[in-house]
Amino acid sequence: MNTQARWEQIDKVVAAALELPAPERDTYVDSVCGAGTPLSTEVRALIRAYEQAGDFLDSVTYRGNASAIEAEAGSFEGRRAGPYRLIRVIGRGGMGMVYLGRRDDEQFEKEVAVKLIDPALYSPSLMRRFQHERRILAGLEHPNIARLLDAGLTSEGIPFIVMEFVAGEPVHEYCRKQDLPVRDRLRLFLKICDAVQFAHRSLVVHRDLKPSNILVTEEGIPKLLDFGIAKMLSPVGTEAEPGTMPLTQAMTPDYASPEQLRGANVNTATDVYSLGVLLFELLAGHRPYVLSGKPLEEIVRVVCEEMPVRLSLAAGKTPLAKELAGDLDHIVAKAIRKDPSERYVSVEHFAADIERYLGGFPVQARRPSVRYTVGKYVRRHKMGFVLAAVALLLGFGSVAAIVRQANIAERERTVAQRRFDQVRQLAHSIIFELHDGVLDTGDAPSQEIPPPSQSRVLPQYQVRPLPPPQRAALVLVDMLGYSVADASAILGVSEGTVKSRCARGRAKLLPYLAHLRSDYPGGRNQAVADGVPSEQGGGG
Amino acid sequence: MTEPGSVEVTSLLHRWTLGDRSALESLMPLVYAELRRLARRSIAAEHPGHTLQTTALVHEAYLKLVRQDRAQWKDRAHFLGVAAQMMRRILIDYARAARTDKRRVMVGAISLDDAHPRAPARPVDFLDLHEALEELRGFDEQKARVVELRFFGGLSVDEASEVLGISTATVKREWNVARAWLAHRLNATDS
Repeated sequence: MNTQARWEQIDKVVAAALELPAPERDTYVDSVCGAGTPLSTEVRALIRAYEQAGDFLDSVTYRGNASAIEAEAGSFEGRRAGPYRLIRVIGRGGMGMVYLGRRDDEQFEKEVAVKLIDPALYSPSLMRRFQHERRILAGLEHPNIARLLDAGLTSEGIPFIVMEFVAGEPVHEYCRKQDLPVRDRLRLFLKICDAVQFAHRSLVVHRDLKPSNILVTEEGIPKLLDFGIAKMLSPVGTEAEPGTMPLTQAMTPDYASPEQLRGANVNTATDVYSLGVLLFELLAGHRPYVLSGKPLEEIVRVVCEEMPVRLSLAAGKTPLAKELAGDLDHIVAKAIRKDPSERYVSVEHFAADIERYLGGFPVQARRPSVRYTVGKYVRRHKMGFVLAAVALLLGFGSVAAIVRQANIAERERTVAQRRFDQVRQLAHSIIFELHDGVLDTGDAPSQEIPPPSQSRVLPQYQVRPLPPPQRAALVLVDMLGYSVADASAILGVSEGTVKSRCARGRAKLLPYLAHLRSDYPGGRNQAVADGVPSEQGGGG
Repeated sequence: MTEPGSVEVTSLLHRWTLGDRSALESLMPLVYAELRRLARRSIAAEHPGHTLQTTALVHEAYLKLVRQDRAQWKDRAHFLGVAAQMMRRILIDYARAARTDKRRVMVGAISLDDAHPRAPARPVDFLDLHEALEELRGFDEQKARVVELRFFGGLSVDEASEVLGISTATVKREWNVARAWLAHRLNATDS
């Protein structure tokens, strides 16, 4: 019997048996095929399978998310989302495709960005949250935040978000292409901080700050995209169950904070962290951790446990590294601390510290030290210092007097100017030595300090450097105006020691003062300036 | 971009029903495109693991594509017959795409047309089902076709009988035996 004929036989018996009530089927099969025959066995097996199959073939279940959809980029071109026609794909994110959209009615020839949310992220409760959040986000008006204009469902039931269309490129690429100096990068970053801070005041946390969400226009204006969208799309109650995977597909683990990866509460500190990672990347050229290609558990471990590399080390052995070393190292490190409570308490504080850095003020991210504080002061007032030193050395009450003197007569002007320049040069040299002297007394320097240079000084004004302790005392007391008591506290020596160091330092400087005075007659009649010691009184 | 006109679909159906084979060739791409769109939306909108209501999709495509005031009941059956084939092809595409991603399209979950709920079946991989169905077609084409119409097209027994030109009793009979054979075949594959 060939297989076809055999199948026809089986078919006939099975069909007939299945017409009968289940308990009678076996009896029927045996009666037709003979009990225990191969045919009977085979037919019975089919009947058993049928009986056990339940709702088999009643429906198809699809497991997993819609990769087939994602593969079809651009498939919505020409379609509509609400009143907007989708022109072309301008980007794709974890959340879905972004299209350039244009309003159909002519009077609004406005181009917008329409983000079609990947329906895989869709959940029944999403729309309610969506509506709630969009009301808040629509009110977020800031020059550096791309406005949320509209949101809704397409006729296909796909949620979409309409945002201000920003023509620009991601902030990291912008910085790279423009080859922006560090200080310009910082200023650009401050604008970003301002926008984030503004949103925080409106109680909106971004949650997904990353370069692709921060576009810089041709005019150099940064615009933040997708504010609050991540929260809008995260499933309700995500912030639970530590150790699980709370990341929505929308999120990039590269910029996600440890608490985000752990599934703990997400708040403004999370944005501080992401901004820290962003600043790191903008300055060093890459992020603090290498995470790409790693499985999620490994990413969580690295971000939550491993110490990030120092910013300046990340920049490699470049001139840039030198610029990043110190304050910026500390600022970035503070922003990306693993414990949110150790970070800047707000984006505002973060930004303020960067402004302090830019202004030459001591940054809060660093533990204060004498070397550091005084060093900052001296650097900040470099020019003022020079002039103050001139005044001090010459016994002038004010620098203005020198300038006035220099202007007395047309005939004398050139000479006076030249002398003034020489004096300034000398003072400059002395100041730097004094400054370096102060540096020596502080905590161990993290980088090599260039040795005081004598070359800047004309031969006749060559000053033998003061021993560092004396220089330190003089700078604090005579230049910075610290009281002897304060100087003693700062330097960690007794007040008597401060006094005697000052005295010895001044004594050594006296010959030069005398020299300068004789060289610059205008100073002769001037009263001895405050702080210039009395033992110098008869000199000159 | 123009939607396929419902008039066009209706008249193509008419011509095909009247014996014009070329009408079917024109019809298939339209039906395929619409079904694919519907399936995409449906698969995506569901949570992972949700039931994909293939039959609902096929009916939706029908409502969408065919001018119903002009269409006859026979048109509908024929349309759904075409749609069932298309649906199956679409699902195979998805299943293949999904398999490369280590995801699976599974068969079995919710009872659709049964008044008394049956025990939920152990889910079966869709591609396994597809292969089994092709095997069945090798020695019993009619049964394979019935399964396709009813499972992928959501056709009722009456509609399937209209499309295949066989009695309703035969459709029921073929459907039952085909289910028995497929269930058995897939059990064997599994273990």
